[in-house]
Amino acid sequence: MHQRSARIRGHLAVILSVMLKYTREWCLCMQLIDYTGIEPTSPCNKCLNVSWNSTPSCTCTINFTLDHPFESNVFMYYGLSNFYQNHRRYVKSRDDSQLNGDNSSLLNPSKECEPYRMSEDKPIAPCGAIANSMFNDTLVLYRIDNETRVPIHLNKKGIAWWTDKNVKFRNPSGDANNLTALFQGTTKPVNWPKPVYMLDSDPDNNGFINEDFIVWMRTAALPTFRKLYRLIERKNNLQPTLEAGQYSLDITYNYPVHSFDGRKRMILSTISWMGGKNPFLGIAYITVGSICFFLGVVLLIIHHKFGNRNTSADIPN
Amino acid sequence: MELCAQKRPPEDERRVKANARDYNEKFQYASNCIKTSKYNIVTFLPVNLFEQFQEVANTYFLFLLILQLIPQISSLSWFTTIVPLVLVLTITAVKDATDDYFRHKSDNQVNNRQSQVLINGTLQQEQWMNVRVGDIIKLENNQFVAADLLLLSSSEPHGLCYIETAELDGETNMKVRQAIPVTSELADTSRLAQFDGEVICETPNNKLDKFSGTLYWKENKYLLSNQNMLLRGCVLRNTEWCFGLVIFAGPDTKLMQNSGRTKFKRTSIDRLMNTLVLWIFGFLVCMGVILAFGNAIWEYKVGARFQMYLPWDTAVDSAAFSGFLSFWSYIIILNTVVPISLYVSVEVIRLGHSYFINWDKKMYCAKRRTPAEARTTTLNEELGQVEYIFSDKTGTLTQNIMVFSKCSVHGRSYGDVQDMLGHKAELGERPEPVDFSFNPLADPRFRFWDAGLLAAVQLGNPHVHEFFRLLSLCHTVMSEEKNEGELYYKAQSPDEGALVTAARNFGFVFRARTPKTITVHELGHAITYQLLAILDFNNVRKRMSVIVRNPEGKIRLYCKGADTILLERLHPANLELASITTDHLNEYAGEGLRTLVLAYKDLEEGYYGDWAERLRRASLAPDAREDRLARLYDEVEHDMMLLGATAIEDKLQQGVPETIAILTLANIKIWVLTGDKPETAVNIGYSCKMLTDDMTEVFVVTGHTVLEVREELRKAREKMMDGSRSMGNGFSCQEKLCSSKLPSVLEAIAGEYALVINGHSLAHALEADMELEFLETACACKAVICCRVTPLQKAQVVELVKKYKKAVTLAIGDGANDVSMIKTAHIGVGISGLEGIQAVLAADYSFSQFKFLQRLLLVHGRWSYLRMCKFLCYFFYKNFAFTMVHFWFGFFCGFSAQTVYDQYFITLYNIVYTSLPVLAMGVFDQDVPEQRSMEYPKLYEPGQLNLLFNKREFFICIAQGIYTSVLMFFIPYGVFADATRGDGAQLADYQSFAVTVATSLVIVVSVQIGLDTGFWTAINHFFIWGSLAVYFAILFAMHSNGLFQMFPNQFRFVGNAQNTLAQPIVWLTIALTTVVCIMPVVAFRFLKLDLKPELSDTVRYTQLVRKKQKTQHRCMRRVGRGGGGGPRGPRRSGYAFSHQEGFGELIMSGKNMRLSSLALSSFATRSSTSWIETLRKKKGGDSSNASSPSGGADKTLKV
Repeated sequence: MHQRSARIRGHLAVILSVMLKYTREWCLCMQLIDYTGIEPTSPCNKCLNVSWNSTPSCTCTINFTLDHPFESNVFMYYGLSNFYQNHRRYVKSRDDSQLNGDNSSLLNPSKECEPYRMSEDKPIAPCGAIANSMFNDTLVLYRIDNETRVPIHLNKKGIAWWTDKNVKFRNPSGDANNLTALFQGTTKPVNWPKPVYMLDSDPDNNGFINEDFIVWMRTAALPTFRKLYRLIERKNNLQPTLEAGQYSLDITYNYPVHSFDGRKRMILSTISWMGGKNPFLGIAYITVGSICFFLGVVLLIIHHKFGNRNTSADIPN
Repeated sequence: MELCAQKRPPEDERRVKANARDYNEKFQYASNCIKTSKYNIVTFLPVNLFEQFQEVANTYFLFLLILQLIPQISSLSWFTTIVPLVLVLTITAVKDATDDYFRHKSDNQVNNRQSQVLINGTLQQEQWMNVRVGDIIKLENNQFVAADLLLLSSSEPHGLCYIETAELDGETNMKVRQAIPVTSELADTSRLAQFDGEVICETPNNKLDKFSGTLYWKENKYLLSNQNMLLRGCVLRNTEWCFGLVIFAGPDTKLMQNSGRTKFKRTSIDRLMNTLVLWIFGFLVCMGVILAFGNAIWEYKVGARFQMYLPWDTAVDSAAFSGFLSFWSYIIILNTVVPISLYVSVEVIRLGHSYFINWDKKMYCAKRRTPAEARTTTLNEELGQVEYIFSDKTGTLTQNIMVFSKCSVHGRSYGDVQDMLGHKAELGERPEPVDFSFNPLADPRFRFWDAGLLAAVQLGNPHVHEFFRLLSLCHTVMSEEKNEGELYYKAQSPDEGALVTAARNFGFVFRARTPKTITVHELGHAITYQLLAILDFNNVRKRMSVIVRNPEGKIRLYCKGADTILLERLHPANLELASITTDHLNEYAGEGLRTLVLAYKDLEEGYYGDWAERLRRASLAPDAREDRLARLYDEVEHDMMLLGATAIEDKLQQGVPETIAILTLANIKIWVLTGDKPETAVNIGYSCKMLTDDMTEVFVVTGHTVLEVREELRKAREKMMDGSRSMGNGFSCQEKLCSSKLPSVLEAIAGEYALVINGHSLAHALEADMELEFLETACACKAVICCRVTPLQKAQVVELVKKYKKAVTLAIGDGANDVSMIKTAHIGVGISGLEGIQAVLAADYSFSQFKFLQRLLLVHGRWSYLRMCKFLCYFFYKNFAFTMVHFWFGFFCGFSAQTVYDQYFITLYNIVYTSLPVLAMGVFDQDVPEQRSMEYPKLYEPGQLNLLFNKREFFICIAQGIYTSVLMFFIPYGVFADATRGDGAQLADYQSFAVTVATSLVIVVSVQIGLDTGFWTAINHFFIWGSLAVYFAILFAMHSNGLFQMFPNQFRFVGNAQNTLAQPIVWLTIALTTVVCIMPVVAFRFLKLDLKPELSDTVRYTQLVRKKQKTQHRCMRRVGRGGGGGPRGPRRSGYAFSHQEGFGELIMSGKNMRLSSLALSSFATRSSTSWIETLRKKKGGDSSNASSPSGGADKTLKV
């Protein structure tokens, strides 16, 4: 019985893995650009040692080519590596009550936020190490069309989970149009150039419900991670979202990672019903499927050769 | 109740003055209130908690809790530890409270028993707890003795009184106690109230058979001994009333002094578990150290430079210190490898198994209305590992009921049940028993199946008449006739009772006796014989005789005794008859019956007169009286005429031979340890098929000195070795094959041997320099019988086997003399039989039939062991799979002690998500159905060899757990590293990762328990599916908006479940993880089933096949009580007679004759009998309900 189930499982796994692999190869494209600037030749090398409050900001531009057109919606990510968003002290250094718009927590943040709880005797909003270390590079994408740089529209809304945006994160209660007043009595996180109520001009994307902020606050499980930065929506069905060709990426380089050997990347990717390109799962399924199949066959042979010994004659008494 | 608990100064001696409470008060003796309970309402909580925190596990978790309160190292919220801890403490506390409640109840019941106390000259009803030292109390028939009393006077002549000490020492025969002469006259309350004697005696102690003290009264000194004492726990019998002076009360009584705190028994699995927990603890520390070093290195290399985003805590000034803190943090999050719920779960499972034993209808004795009872709930799995059983004989193997079964009269054997063809009929198809209705005095309980004997009586066969006349005359039984024709015999030994009852039913009714006469109704005619002498029984003579003068004036000696002795003392004319009778005796002995030979001799008046005169002189002789008497007895018991032989069946408990046979097949060795004589024990050995005539040899060790015993043991071993060598020649090739498997040369011997060892030899054999020799010899034998052993020796034998054999021992017995061995053995079983309840109280299990042992071990024990092993394997596996994920994650989170899972998952994993399915398996699982485990006793062996859970199995489980944890972490890691969700957002956020890993873990361990469960009940299904359902329900609840809005800082995972579990990729990951974790297990088990099946697998498989083919049930009826052919080899005597010396003398002196029976015999007329009747009724009215008709076998023992 076991053996039959093992074999069935084997077959299933093979079919599934082939299917996965097939879908992947067909329509998933991905472009990955490291813009940390470690290599001296990199245009961003000059910005390698920026600090948080360097003014004016260091900017650099990286040109790249897309070999294939990106047919469907394209997702733009920033990726960091060697960045320990999963460190225990980092993970706990936040006050969800404050982020949920609780007024008392706003002015008296949780102790978990230490040492980013108070600054100059004023409560920090949003408090904690996570918020304090928010990613603040600005990435702008241009398509180089006959030597001219055509800016590509990057949608900055719709990148966070619905529950995060609508349930978990809320601005302090009060007049939503006057965030400055709502955040009265608090101060900005130490590393930030500007307070939380000035993250965006759109009141629906400002303060605690700024989606870039929300995305950052959803801490990563592993030290190498990527986070959704912008959406590039497909305009019509005739043209691919991003045609093959020359592109250039303008970076406002504010976020220092060199000191701890971190890396920064920009990723462009399309996705399927299963998410982005993920070779691991496909390979794993193929491997496991084959092993199961093989094992099933071997067990079957063994069973036919030796299984018949199970007779009552064996029972000693 | 608080009275009980007072502390008293130690005593040097005890002074008690009768009727002087004020005087006695100043010594502050303990009152008669006893307290066995531990708590009261106020002290329960602190005392119980204090006791519970003495358990290492609980303290450990308390320590963890304290660690968690330190913010710098707290890697988990405090509730992850406190919730399970509180749960565990509560369950234990509830159990303790219930136990204590019942103790309070029984204390109250005992303390509130009523007794009559003489206060200010009048008898007053008082509760037991208000009885004080120095009080005089009155006891009535069948009442329990309230405290240790000095007997002052009684209703019987000479201040005698009879007590039953069953509850104290287990002996059922009645004992006589006598008041000292001066006080025996104080028979009424007014005189007793005047009594102001003072007793000075020993301090409270636990010696049941010793008492020394002095009574000072009226300026005289009287020595007191144990003969004057009535101890608490005894019951007054056959005595209308008696008065006693309280010497020791309550906790000072010998009964209470003896009931020391029982040693807490642990099973081998318990000990193994403790070792393993220690190892796991070591492992935990190792992991902590590794991770702490990792942390220090990480902080030094990476963390220090990452400080711009994540500064160190203010208290941390170096990487090393951070590593130190991280060690404690990791101890906290990895603590789940040392499972707190393990101990509680094990207790719950054992409790469940105990209830199965209690509820087992097949272990319920309908006759006595006693179910089996697991009195200790912590030993069940050890029942599946027993290798040695030490059994008491009387009351355990036998019912201690003697039945007159067969007899041989003048060369003809009676008593075989015969069917039409002349074959012996099997049990169950017996024809109607013989009808004794012609005899109004017959005992209706007596059964006999051979009508030929009665016919012979009625035809007037003179031999048969003489045979029964002998039985009705030659004994020391006392008769009692409560109503006309309602005879009760008070026999000192059950053998005699059976013989006299047989004679009674066949028309020779022993009616009454006086010191000088015996009245017998011979076929309706009352005949009074003059009793001239009783030649008493003793163990050297092995016979007893009476000399009577019949109404015609002829003097005749009637003798009954052992065949070996009597056959040599017959008149030469009996030679032919003797040889036929010997054949019969052999036949009886072969069936395990106890035989006695009967003979008579006519004495001439002149010779007798001369002999009697010499006897009188000898009995007055100042020195060597015994020897002289013996010589005289010897002289007269000579040249006797053989009458025949009797065969008494010492009724075995039901199913004893079958049980022993099956247990032997299960490789359990059974030793019988009995206080009885060698003859009796050997006899029982044969009748319950422990010994058979097919055995190569039965060694009997009876040496009196060290050298003799050593020599006998050496000879026995040599013989066994010789035997095996000579056998070995024939089967040399086979021998070689076998010998490699067998561990010891001595155990490889061919042929079956048995060892019978006597108590005095055993004493030498148990000495330090010989005990190994003895053990080796004994273990090489198939059956071991130790006779005449003291309770202490019983315990020593058990201790010896325990010490050297590393085997699980079980002791089974029913009397107080078995208590020591029951307490010593790993498992003690008490037979709730006739011999009081002392054994049951000391035992871990109790039931009423020996045969239930088979079911207890082969079914309940085997299952318990199997279940416990499976449970432990799975438990360690699941905890390692769960916890080790943190270890792997440590390498990717900077060794920061970040948990992989949500803290609620950590809290609930062990107590909610995975506890019930494994409990259900631990309680209900079975590999083969119960009939099969009885049918194939070999299935019991894995338990004895400890195969199912040992260190190796443990490492396999741990390895499987670690393997699972690796996959559990690295598969999601591989998938999540680059994956994004279906809506483009990043997948690899911490919370989604946590939910994915947690969900796969719950699913994998659920699938695994499904694979492990061998026997599915509705409860298993319910628990497994229920746990999964509960997991998802709680997951969604915890991640719901409502909870978050109430406590935003506690429920940070809001919206996570629905977001993550909606992703197909998450489910693909979970599926992959499950398959990869389970596949090797399935493959491995499949291979094992095919290539190296266990016996249980084979049995299960055959079961399946058999069901399909519907072949007929294979019946295993190897054993039965077949009569079998005659014995081979030398003749074996079937003689056994459990009798004590001294009663003949007592009868002749008339001391034990009560007024009523004396009267009965002297006024045999009808009118006088009715006069006696009225007298009795009057007395009966006085003593109200206390007197119940108490015959010899009647037990109205109510506790």
